[in-house]
Amino acid sequence: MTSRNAGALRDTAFDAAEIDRRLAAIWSTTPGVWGALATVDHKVIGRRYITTAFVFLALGGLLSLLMRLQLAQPEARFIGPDRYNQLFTMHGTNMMFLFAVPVMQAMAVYLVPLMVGTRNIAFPRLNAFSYWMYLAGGLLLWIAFVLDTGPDVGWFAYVPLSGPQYAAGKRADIWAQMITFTEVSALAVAVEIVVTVFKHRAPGMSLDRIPLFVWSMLVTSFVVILAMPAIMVASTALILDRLVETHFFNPAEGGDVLLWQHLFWFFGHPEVYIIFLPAVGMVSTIVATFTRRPVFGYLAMVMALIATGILAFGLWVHHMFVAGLPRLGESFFTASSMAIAVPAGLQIFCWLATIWAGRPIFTTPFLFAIGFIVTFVIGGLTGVMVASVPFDTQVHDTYFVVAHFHYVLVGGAVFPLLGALYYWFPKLTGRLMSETRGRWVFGLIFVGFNLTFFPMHILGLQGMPRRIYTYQPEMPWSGLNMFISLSAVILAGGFLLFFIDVIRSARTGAVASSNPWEASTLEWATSSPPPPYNFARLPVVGGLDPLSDRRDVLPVAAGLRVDRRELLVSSIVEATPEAREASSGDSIWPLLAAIATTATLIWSIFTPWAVVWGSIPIAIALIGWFWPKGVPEDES
Amino acid sequence: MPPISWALSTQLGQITPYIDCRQSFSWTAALCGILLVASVAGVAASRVTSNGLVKSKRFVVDAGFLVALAFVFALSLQEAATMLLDPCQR
Repeated sequence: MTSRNAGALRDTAFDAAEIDRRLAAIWSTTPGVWGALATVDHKVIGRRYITTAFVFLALGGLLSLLMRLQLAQPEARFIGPDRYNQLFTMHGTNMMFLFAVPVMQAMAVYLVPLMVGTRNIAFPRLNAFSYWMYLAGGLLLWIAFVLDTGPDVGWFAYVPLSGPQYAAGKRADIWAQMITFTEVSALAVAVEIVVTVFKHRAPGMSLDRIPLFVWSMLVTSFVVILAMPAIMVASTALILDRLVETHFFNPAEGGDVLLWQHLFWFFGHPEVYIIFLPAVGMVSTIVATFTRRPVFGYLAMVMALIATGILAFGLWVHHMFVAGLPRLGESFFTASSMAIAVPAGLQIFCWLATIWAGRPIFTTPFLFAIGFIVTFVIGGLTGVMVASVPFDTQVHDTYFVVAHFHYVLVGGAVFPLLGALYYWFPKLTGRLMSETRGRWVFGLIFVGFNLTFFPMHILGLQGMPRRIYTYQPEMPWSGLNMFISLSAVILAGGFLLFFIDVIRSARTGAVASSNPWEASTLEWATSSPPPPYNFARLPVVGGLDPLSDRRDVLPVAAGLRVDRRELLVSSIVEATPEAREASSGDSIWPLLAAIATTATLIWSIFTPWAVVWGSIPIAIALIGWFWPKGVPEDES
Repeated sequence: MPPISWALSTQLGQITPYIDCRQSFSWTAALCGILLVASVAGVAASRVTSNGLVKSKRFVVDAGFLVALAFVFALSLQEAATMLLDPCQR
């Protein structure tokens, strides 16, 4: 401790009530609009992220209902081909970039600092900036759609269809620039989570004691950091091709069309695992809590997470099996696609073994976990099928693939996410969700989902192509399409009931205790919802399940200051305390930086000079953001 | 070692089939085989170095060992593919 800080106020000098009062004064967000815009509290930002992502889920769901209305009958004239192109592009883009990835990261933004026993996420201002960028990207996409400028090039935006030759206007530019917004946001959150997990864990939480959800988010964050730059490079190159006539993807001038596919799928396939891996962590947490025992095979689960995260980067060519690459080269990706079934199977085995050896309590979160296992296994099996070149060649671009990836993405991510919402809702809001409505929600969604998407396998095998806005009555598809559209209403009913349950429970649900499920991870060691400072005294971890032995008093660390926002920095492997570090206070600069960046990025769709002139307000915002405070940031 | 070998092999699998098709020697099979052997050696080495470590460090080594096995399996499948497929086939 430096002599300048010798008189600093520490928690050792006060009783519990006084510590709470002082920490609340230091860590609380200022009431009012200014405070709401300037807050850097990971819980406030996490809740905002989750709420915004679910709004986008609802909007994307409405688009899918419109598509099902159009496809219910042959030669329907409800939606024209141009609007239909926008609908499926918006649906895919919205669900992947504005819902699935952000909502998983949002759960981590809220939960990871609590689960590792710290008071805020690393780089809290960057966290605030990431949310504003995400919101701006979402608004850009949806406002463009309302103005009939929504992207119509598919969520993958293949060139040359999205290039200057075939995509006039600004629709493809909107798609490409929206990518920049969401990827900047996702990369920022990924960096925050990596640093939080590696350097801000509670004392004693060595690598072999990290909760599986935290492990899953750590691996996911590395996948984000390695995968997302590829799509940012690709979308930027596309904008340059369209705006200043570069020729990255123009073969006539030395460019390469396949370069786009390689860059896109080098991001696009890991994207599936960016969505799936957090779900693995969620299911592991739910299964452990509701079987009243630790997950079977902790080491195997960690291995499966890491192996999946790395193997995810060797599968991208299986999206390009009909692109004309050498069969031998393609077979290498088939091999990797088969190999990734090993860690996935290992995870399923560990969950089944946990349930087998435990005493399952069939609450709503647990039902969603079971639904996930069933659905994901079906999606995984069809995944192994389409990893085979001959089979994939037959079903490529048919509804079989639509069925497959909805089983993987909805079964593999949305089911666990809904279970996670029911599970962590008490920690988010301080209230429990309705168990009765929850069972109805699960039943409607599980039945509606399977009735909607399973017949699509058959449609695909019957040869119905994807992305067609209508079909002739002579084709043998109309009966199944009508059945699918009616089933989609059941699925939509389930989601509607879920949203009603969320709103009603948040307002009038039963008040939750700090640990209503008798769970064993650290987020349940504090009140529901947690105070602004998370923990009055940072917990000390003595095992993999710090709350499982039902000790009345959790060991805690002492000595942190109560007159400034302060975190504990710990070592990577053993989580031994190394330093005390100041955590940033509330600031309006992240919002101003996001506004300046948004203006520049949107302007740059129209003129390259926007990058030059837009850099000035961005620089001003960053100078304000990083202006020296004149106090040391950390103390050993 | 095995993840790097697998990444290298996967990348080479996009390049060497073109060379194999023009020549009589199968570079794809040879390079993949070398990388497979290197991976197996890496796995064996991790077992040797794990003795005498503290619990948390041993956990890291054990997790790495299991991860490596998955990549050895993937490389084995890739090596098998080189023996089954014609590099000129598209």
